[in-house]
Amino acid sequence: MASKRPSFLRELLSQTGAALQFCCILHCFHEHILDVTICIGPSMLPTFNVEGDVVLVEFYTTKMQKLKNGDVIVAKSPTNPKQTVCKRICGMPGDVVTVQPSHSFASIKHHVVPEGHVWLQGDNLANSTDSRAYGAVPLALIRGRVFYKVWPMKEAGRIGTTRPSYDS
Amino acid sequence: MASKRPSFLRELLSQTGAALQFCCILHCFHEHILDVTICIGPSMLPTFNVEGDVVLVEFYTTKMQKLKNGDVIVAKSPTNPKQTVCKRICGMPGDVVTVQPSHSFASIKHHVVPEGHVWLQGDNLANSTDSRAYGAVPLALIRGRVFYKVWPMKEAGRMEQHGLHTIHSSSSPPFRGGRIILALAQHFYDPRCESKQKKAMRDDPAADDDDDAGREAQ
Repeated sequence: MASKRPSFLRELLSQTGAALQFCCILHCFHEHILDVTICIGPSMLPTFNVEGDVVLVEFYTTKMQKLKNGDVIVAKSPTNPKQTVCKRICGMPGDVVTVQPSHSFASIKHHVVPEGHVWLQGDNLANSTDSRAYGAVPLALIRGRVFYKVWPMKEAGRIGTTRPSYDS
Repeated sequence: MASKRPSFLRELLSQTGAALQFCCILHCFHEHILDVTICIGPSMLPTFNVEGDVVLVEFYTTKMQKLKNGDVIVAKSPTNPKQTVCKRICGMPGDVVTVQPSHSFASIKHHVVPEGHVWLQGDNLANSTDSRAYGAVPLALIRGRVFYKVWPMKEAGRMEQHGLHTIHSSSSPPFRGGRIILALAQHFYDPRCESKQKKAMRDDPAADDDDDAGREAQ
């Protein structure tokens, strides 16, 4: 028994070490290369469903600073550091964004997007808390770009850079 | 030769794999546990020197959301995503920060720090681009908290929480609730200001008990 116990501890430690190594590599992969995530909520209708869509997020565009208007991105929420939001970029640094409120014709606001910031808006403008509420968002909060929808499979495909519009 | 070449490639691949594993573990360590970094620049004088000080950054306080006023933090710059800044937290969500410009008595500004944001200021108010320029900073930009200075060794030690220049003014800003923190935007040479600043930097803040100066009310 005395010869078995130290090897059991050693086995446990080596398995824990291997598991930690694997977790670190996996963490680095889904933080810096490719991530699979779920976008839930009504703010990106009709691009994403309310119940949740599985999407792929890439980090190359963000790191190379090649984001542009129309990209759907995943960012950390400016109002709650533990939350992530999925919105579309509607203004790059230097752009002038004009926000027209729906129930008052007297307060049209013009915002100049400052340096290092972007203007985010959900595709479902009627039910989306975005830059119209919390202002331009620093680029450093953006984690990555959503480029492909995986689930549901009948809607799978690349995510385009134009906001779908209702043409009746 | 044919028997040596595949084993050389295999050796190379296994060494590259081991190096990648090591880099991933090291990256996770200095992103989430402890980091050693250099703070360069005049914006945090006299806490940090201009030439650069080596400091230790911990990430537990940020992750557990236990940051408070007076913490020196490292954050990503809101104006340049590739840059990191080292500033001190001078206002938590809900606080009212009053900024007095130095060369105009007519435009005192009061800022309410919104939810999920903090107000950052460098200790060297005369030469620091901070929240007085770019506004309150989202908490999600903050990477970690500076808790120990390693180099130069004669200044090594834990970071203290003094350096907040708080003055309880008699005229209250038009807001109710929250803590009121007065921040001097810039000060030119004024022997009265300079003596207060020098005292606050050198000694314990408790010694700085002039008639209208005091420690930050906690």
